[in-house]
Amino acid sequence: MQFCSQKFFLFFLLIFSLYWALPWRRVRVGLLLAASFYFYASWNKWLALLICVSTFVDYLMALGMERSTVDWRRKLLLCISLFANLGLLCYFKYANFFLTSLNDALKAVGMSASFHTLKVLLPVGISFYTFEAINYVVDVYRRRIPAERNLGDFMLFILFFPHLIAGPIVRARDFLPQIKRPKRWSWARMYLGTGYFLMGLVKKLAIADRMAEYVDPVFANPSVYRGSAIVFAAIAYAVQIYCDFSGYSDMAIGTAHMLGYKLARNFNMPYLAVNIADFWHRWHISLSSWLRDYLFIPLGGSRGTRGQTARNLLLTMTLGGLWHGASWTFVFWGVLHGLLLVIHRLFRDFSKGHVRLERFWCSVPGKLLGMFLTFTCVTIGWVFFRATTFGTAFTLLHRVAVWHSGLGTPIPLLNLRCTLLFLWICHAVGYWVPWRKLWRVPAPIQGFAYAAALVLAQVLAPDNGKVFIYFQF
Amino acid sequence: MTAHTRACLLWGLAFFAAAHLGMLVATQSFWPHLRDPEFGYKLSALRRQRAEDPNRPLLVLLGSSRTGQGIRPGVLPELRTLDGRIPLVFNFSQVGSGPLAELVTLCRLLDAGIRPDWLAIEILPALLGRTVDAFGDVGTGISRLSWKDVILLNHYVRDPQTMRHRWYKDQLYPWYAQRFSVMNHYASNCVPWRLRLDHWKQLDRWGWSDIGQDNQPLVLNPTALEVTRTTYYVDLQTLHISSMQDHALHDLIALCRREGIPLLFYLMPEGTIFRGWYAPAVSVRINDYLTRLSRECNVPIVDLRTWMEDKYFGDSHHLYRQGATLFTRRFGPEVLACLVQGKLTSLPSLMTPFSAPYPEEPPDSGARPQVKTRPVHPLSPTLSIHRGQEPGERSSPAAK
Repeated sequence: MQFCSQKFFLFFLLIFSLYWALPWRRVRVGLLLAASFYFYASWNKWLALLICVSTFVDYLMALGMERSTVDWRRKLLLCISLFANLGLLCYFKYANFFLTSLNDALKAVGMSASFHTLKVLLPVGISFYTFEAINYVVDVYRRRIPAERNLGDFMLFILFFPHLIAGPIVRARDFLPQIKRPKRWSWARMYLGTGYFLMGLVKKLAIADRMAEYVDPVFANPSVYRGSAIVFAAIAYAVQIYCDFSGYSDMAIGTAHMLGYKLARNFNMPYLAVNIADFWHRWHISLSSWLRDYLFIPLGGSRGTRGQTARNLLLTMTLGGLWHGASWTFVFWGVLHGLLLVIHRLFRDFSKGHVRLERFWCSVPGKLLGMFLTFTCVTIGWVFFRATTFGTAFTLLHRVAVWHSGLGTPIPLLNLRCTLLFLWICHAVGYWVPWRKLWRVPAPIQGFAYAAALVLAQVLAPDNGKVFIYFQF
Repeated sequence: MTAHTRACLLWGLAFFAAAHLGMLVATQSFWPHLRDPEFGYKLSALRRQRAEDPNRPLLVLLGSSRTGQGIRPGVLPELRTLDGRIPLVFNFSQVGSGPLAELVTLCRLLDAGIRPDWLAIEILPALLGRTVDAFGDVGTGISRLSWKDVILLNHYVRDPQTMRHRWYKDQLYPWYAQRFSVMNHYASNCVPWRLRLDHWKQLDRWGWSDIGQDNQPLVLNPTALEVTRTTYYVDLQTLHISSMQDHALHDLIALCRREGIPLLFYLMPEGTIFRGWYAPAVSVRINDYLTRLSRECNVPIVDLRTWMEDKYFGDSHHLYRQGATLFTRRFGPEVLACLVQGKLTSLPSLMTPFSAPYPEEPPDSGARPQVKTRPVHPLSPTLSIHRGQEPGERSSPAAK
C-alpha cells in the first residue's frame, strides 16, 4: 500500500476518522497498532508477524536490562538484542550478497566450490525498523531512557505506519513520550500535516516519477546514449531520488501530524549544501544522525588523531553505504562519501591557516562554487548508487568523460528544465521567505494553492505509479 | 490561528471540489475536445468544412490510423455524383479503431447532427479477433467515453458492470482521468513517447493526419516495424473472428440501412512483410468471414491490401505521405466514385462479386438475425444490439 495510492487514501481516511472519533487514549493506541499491522501485512502477513516477534524480543531485553543491576547481565541482554536484530537484517538482506560474493571470490581464485543462495523475501523497511529497535535498546542500556513497560506503546513506536517502511528513523526518546501524551484535535496541526502531505505528493508524483522517464532508459542501456544524455540522466536521478525520498518523508511527517504525532525532519534542502559535511547535515538527517550517535562516536568520533578520525569516517560511511543495499556499488558509494568527507576535513583544516581562502569560502561566489562542487560530487556518487553494476557505472562515466555520440535524452529536455526551474524557485522561497510569513497569506489564496498542488500532482502523475526508491532498503 | 488554518483547509477543499466538478461538466458537455481530442478536433474541422457549403453532400471515411495517414481527401481528383454535385469527402478515422469504435463514432456523428450521405468504412483484419472487454477498446480507453457511449458499449462488452464502475471512477476525479489528454494538449513535449497521442494537432482541413514530409526518404523504419510486429503478429497468427466485432459490424450495417446511408467496406493496403505475418489458416478465416459478410449483408467489401508497393510504407502498414497521395489518387476514382454514383457493381478488388442492388432493409436471412430492438444510443435511431459473446459462443441459425 503506497502513500500515493487510492487504497492508502481510503485506508487513512477511515483510520483518521475513527481515531479522532474515539475519545480514549488506549483505544486510539490500539487502533493505530491494528492499522499499522494491517498496513504492513498488506505487503506480506508473515513478515508482519516477524516484525512483531523481533519487537517483542527487544521489549523483553530492554525490561531485563532495566531491572538488572549486574553489568555483565545487562551487556549480555544488549548483545542478545543486537544479535537478534542484526541477525535478522543480515539473514534477510545480506546473506545472499555475501554468498554470491564468496562464490565470485572462489571462482576468481580458481576454486569450484559454490554456495547456494537462499530463497528469502526481503521484509519491506527492515533496515529502518532495525535501526529504530537498536537505538531503543542501546539508549536503555546507556540509561538515557527508561524501558517502556507497556507492550502496546512500544510496538506502536516500531510499527507506527507513517514511518514504518522508509523512515524517518524515529528515536525512542522522541516518540515514546508522544504516545503517552493526550491528543487533542488541532486545526493548526491538520493544516501543517496536510501541507506536508501535499508537498510530498507533488514531489513524488509530479517530479520524481517524471524524472524516471529520463533516468530508467539511460541506466538500462547506457552504451547507446551520448554523453550529454547521460549527464542529464544523472542530474535527473539526483532530482528523482531527492524528490522520491523526501517526498515519502514529507508524506510520513504529514500523516503523523494529522494523527497528532511529530516525526523528525529528514531533509533540509540538501542540494544547497556548500560542502559534503553540510550535505550530510541536510540529507536523510535521521540516518546520518543515527550513524553519528551509534557508530561514529562509539568508534571514537573525531576525538583521536587525523588518521583515526579518517578511519572512523570511512568505516561509518562504508557501513552507511552497505545499509542502503546489499551490493558492492552501494559499498563503493559509501566509501566515496567517506573519502569526500575525509578530503573535506583535510581541506577545512588547511583553510584555517589561510585567511583569504577562508574568507572566499564564506563569500557568495565561494558558497556558490561550494554548492556546485558538492552537487557535482554527490551526482557522481548517485551514478554508482543507481547503477546495478560497476560495469554500467563505468560505462556511463566513460561516455561522459570521453565524448561519445549516440541517442539523445529519452524525452525532450523541456521537462527537466521546467522541473529544475520549479525546484530552484521552491528552494529560493524556502531559503529566503520565512514560513511564518507564508502562514499570513489570506486563507482563500492558501486554499487555492493547496487545491492547485493536488490537481497538479494528479495531472502530472505517471501512467504506472513507481514504488518509492527507499522501499528496497 | 485556529480559524485561519481551518479556513485555509476548507477553502482548499472547496477549490479542489470545484476544480473537479468544473472539469467534469466541461468534458461531458461544452469541452469534449479534452475528453476525446481526436474526435473533438475532427468534428470541429468537419463542421468548419460543412459551414462553407452546407448543401454539399458528405462522404465520410471511418477507419483506423491506416486510413488516417493513408487517405488524403485534399488531393482527391474531383468526384461527382450522377446529378453532378461534388461531395465533401472527410477522413474521420481514429487511431486504433475497429468495428466497435467505428460504430461509436458513427453514433456520435449522428448525435452531433451530422448525417453522412455515404460511408466508406475500413476493416482492419487484425482487429477482427480482438475481444472488447470491460477495459474498453474504443480508441485509447474509457476516459474518452461519454455517458451515451457507455450505454452503447454496455451491450457489447463482456463485463459491463466493471466498465461502468471504471467510468464512474473516472468521473470522480476527471483531472486525473484526463491527465494525458490535458498534457497532450498543453505540454506534449513533457509526455513520454509511449503516451504521446497528439497527432490530431497535425490534421489537415479534411481530417488527414498531416505528418511526415514530401521529401521524406522512402525507407522502412525498423523500430516502427518492430512495434507493428509486437502489436499485430500474435493476432495474425492465431486470429479467430470475435463475436463482439462481428456484432458491431452487423449493427453498423444495420444502422446505416436504417439511416439510408449507402456504405462500402475496404481493406487498406499492407506491405509484403505485414501480409507475410498472416498464418495461412488465419488468412483463410478472414477471407471466408468477409466474403460471407459481404454476401449475407449485401455490402461491397473491397480488398486493397496489395495496391501499394512496399517502398511507400514506413512500418509495412502505414503509408508515407507520398504513398498516401498516390493511393488516394487511385482510391478516389476507382472506389469512392463508384460509391457516390451508386455503381457498386463496378468496384474493383471486390472480395465477392457484388451484383444485387443496394437493399432497403437488412437481409432477413437466418444467418444473422437482429435479436434485440431496444434503443441503445439515446439520440441515435433504434439500433439492434447484441451483447458480446465469446468466440464460438455465437448462436447458430437453427437455435434462433
